[in-house]
Amino acid sequence: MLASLRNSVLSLVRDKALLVWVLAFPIIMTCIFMGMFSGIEDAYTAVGSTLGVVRDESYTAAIGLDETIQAISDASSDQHICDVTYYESAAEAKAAADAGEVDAYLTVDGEGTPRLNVTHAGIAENGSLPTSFLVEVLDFYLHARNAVEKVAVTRPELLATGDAQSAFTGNAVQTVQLSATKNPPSADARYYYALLAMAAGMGATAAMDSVRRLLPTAGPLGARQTLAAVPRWRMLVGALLGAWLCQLACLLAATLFMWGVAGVPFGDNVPGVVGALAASSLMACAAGALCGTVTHMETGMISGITCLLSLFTGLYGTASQQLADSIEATAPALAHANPLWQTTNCFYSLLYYDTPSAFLESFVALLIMALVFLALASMRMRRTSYDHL
Amino acid sequence: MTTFRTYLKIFLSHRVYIAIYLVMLSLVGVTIGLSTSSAATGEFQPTSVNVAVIDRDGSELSAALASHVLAGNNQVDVADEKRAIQDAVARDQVSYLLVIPAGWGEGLLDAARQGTEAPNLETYVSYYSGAGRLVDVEATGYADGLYGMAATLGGSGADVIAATDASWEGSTRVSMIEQAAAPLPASIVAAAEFASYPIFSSAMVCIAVLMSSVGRQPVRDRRLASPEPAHARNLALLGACVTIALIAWAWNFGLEVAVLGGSALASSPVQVALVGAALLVYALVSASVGFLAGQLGVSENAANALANILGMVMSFLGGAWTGLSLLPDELLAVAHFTPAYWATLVIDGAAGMGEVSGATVMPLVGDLGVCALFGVAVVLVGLALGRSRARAQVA
Repeated sequence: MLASLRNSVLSLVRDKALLVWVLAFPIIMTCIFMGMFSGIEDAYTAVGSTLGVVRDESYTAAIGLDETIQAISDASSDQHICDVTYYESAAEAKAAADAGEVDAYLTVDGEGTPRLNVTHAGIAENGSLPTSFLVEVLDFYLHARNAVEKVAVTRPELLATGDAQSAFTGNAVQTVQLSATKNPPSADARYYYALLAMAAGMGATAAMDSVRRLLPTAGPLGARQTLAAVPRWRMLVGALLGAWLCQLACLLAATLFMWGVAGVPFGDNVPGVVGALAASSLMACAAGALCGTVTHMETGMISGITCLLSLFTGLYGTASQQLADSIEATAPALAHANPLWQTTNCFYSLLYYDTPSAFLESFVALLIMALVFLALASMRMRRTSYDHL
Repeated sequence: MTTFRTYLKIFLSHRVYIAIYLVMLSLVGVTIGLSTSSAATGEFQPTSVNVAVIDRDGSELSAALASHVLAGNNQVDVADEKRAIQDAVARDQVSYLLVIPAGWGEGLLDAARQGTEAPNLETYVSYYSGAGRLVDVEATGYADGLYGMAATLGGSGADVIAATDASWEGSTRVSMIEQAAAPLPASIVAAAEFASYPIFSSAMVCIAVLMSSVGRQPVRDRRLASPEPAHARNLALLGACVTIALIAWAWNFGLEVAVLGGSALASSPVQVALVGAALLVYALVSASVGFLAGQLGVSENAANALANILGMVMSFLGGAWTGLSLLPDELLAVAHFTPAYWATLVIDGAAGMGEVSGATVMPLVGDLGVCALFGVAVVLVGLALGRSRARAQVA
């Protein structure tokens, strides 16, 4: 058994395919992600757009509107949501919008109702959020003005002292932001977890190669090994154990790199993270062993299938994350059947939950998948060995 | 010609690769396009945020606040338990979770009478906090309205709500500025940008598999021993590569236009053509990279790894998956050296084109040219290397 283990480890290290997939691939992608996500937190918090304001009579006549615009365009305040350029007429503002200088421009009609004119290009570039923000702020301005007017009808003295205005715009109600999870939600952790899951899945190719070498159909060496006076299960277990150890070592190194260099949060449960990696790689090895018994399976197919499964963990950008989320919401069983999803879920649970139950669910699911794959593989392996001898 | 036909036969015999990389991954791209909400052109659709409210107060005021916050947003039901709240926030099921603490309504009325600050509302915000902030503005705005009415007009809770709701009528009007050219729907843009990955990986994998089977020792020896000159031999191979790229492009782009682009094809044919041209050039560049890998004698396994890693790096760097506006400046500088960046630039430019004229189309054609130059350069390197390697081996 030790001999097959050593043999398997040596051939995997010499072959380099495993090293490329399970070690080099996540490290390269981590470097790319590091560069990409250096700006992603800002992208979710800052809501930047450029707004043109038509400063005509109606605009100046609207009480308090200019103060509102100035408040949201003050770059030094935390309420900053847009940069403002002033125009003298609507025609000038429209020309600027057509030329792409501003994303939207604001006009005020005779009754003092603000109207926002939005460019398609602005929506296409930044999405509808910045505009929704502007609309929300303008709506609040409009509603507060209505309210003050309403108060002025019954209690004009409050308007004169300014109490009415300050009662509505004094920010009397505040929200405090609490944290429900053990660690603050992180936007980019999802990409890194999906990447680790993909690397683990790609590791199946290594197990497949190791098992293939033992098959009697693998050539003279395979035939000799089948005839050897060593129980077959020992050779298989040895080969698989070797592949598993190699893969685990590579994954651990990749995870250390992510944690140490890219600063990816993994929570403080180190045994849990190692356990998750071990279970994921075990599952991948079992899947690889099963694939190894299928005659026409090639390594390219495993990587193709892993690429496909990675889509449902949300590796390929925001669009694929939305797709993955909607599948999880509508057909959770389908999402949970994806072994790579279970891997990412292990990391998620370790990061966010203070109870181990969610982690254990995914951990056990991975182990069960591994057992099923192994059982199927061993059944097929027996048959292959007798069929061909 | 015989060699060329044989190459295509070899390509077609690798059905599993075609099924996974070409068919399945491109179907995924179309699915992503279908799931991307496409706003009806000409009308502004405000951002709808996933919101949950946990009302521990149960007063009239808290109910009014809750219904105001939920209106216009997607309501998500979250139980008032720690695990449920954790799930909702960590999995991004809700972007904004508002907790109205017990006694809030009563406290607000008292505070308004005395002119002090009202009790705080509690929120949990997921990491897409831009959307969370939007709802926060909405919630505090309405709560400020309740406070203001209670402070000025006073009265019972029901009076305050009625007065606030009366003032909270009407809203800012939003209209889209009409432009000469109809913009492309977001769905086809999302699908086209995703397509850079299936196109690159399928073209490269198929070509690399083809070349590795052509490059096996006995086959290689026979090919090199034939009287066929090196350039004819390489041209036949290049022709097969171009055909594979054309198939990858035609399948991906054709599928997108058929499923998502029916109306766009009629309303903005030039933009659709530009998107198609961008993908076509990118497919040819992918084929040239596959050709180079084959000329270098890369093994099937390594080609597979290269196709996936390079494909992903390019799609990410090109901004095809997360948008160029999210890339930091340093990375954007690096991205200029990848063909995917130029292809994405054309797709984005075509999608948001204000009017179709020489002045708007020509710069995009220039970008296409830059993208194509990458392919030409790679092919030249491949031809030169193939020639010298063949000579070295014959010698």
